[in-house]
Amino acid sequence: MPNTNAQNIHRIETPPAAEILTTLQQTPNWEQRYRYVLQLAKQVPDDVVARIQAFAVSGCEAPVWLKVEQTTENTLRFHADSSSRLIRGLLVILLAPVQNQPPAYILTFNFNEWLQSCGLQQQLTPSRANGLYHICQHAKATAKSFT
Amino acid sequence: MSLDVQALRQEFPILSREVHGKPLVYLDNAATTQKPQAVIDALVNYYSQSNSNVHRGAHFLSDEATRLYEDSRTVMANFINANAREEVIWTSGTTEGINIVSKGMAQRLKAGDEVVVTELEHHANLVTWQQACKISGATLHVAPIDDNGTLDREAFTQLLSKNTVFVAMPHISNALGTVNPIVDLIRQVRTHSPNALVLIDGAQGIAHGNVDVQAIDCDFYVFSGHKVFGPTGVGVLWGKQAVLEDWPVWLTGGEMIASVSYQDATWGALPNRLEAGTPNIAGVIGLAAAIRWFQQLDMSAVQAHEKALLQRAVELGGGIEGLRLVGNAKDKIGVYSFVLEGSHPADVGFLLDRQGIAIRTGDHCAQPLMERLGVPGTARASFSIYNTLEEVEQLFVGLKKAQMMLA
Repeated sequence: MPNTNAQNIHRIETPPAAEILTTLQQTPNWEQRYRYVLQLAKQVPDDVVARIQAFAVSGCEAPVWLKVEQTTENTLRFHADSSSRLIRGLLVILLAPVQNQPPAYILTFNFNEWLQSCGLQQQLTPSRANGLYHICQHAKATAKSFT
Repeated sequence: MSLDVQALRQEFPILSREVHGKPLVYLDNAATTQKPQAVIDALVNYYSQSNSNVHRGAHFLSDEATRLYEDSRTVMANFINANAREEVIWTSGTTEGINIVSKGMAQRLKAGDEVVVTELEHHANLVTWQQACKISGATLHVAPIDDNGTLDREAFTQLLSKNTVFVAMPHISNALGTVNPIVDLIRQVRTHSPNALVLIDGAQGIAHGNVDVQAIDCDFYVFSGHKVFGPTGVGVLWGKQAVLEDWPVWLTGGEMIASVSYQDATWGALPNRLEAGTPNIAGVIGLAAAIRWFQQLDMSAVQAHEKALLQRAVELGGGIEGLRLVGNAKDKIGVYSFVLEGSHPADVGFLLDRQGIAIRTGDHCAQPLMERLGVPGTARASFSIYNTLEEVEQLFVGLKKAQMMLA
């Protein structure tokens, strides 16, 4: 069930999409790029989302939890976590451009293009192990339920 | 005779490719082995020269395809020392082989019957039996392992009774590499449960050579061709002739019948009665090419090399802080399963992949086993005959880098 209680919303403490994009575009070396992804993972508070079944997203190799909240301005905030540190960091990147956006915007948002501009398109292949693909599907389905 | 690994590697075209701009270090052999040129050639030759349906054509090519197909059965029968070539049933792989046996057995099981499997089971040799028991009301017993991943022989024997009608177990554990003492265990079964049939899941056992089904004295031995340098989509169900002769048919249709009327049908003889429909002809021929190729090698040299690879991994892994080996049975082969403290196996696998090193991460289709060992999953490097000691060393160089990045 969508939670509309605005008082419980966590502040988004990770960098905005524009900053992430610039950093990744200026970092061609794979090792440095993934060091950055892991750094982003560290910025996610440990209690960003309760690791309970209600927030679990199935179909991922590493467990992923996602909580979506509606703000008083009718935008959505995503709180995501994973026991994989890489996935946790990638979730920050994936969701940055749709944080605090209205559901209609999220519904038409092209996650593929976004990851491509970040140079991370290979993270979005629809293989069984790939958590991000399921998160995108889940984010869109949730956005739809708010429209 | 020792193994000339460098010469061997030349026969596998894929081993000279790069991934992510790095030379491929392929350590996912328990998932599937790579194919030597001899197998690739056999597939290409079949489709270029001999493609035709088997057993029914009234023409030259059909005869040729049938001969190649049936010769392959003889090659396989000799490889595993079957008593008769009709005992070799071609399947799509291990999973189908086990299903032919478990679905047939489900028709015979009744309440009060007992089936024994082990905690080491791959889902293919667990879910099949669990479902057969559910349908029939039989009881499923699971023989325990110790924390090293070694089967508890005493507990296994204690589970065997006069009511035990089926025992299924792996030759070698896919997740841990534990080699089960199947000859001894089957002897126990024969003593305590004279009515029981025994199936060995040989998916991991077959690639290490020296599988002699008569010496093992099981009733069924099943495996996939792709784990022993052959193509995917083809495998073997071997069974004792007397057992297979009246085994419930699995697929009905063409090829497997003796006569058919609109209201009734009778089944043909082995092996056809268990091979309905057009088989994977190219796959079978490719698999026979793989076996012919593999058989040329000195099996004791193969096993010595595989042992050396694993030993090197254990040595180097011992020097990495926070690395825990998962599965440390005295008798194990081919598999190095581990967790890095504080890191999810998927992250370890991903960061190794970026360095050109292919391993598998996850539960290895053995969720109950992972739960038993108290891990969500492992990172698993698995070795084959074409791997080198240098590659094992690269794995640990890569691991150190991954660990540093994840710190």
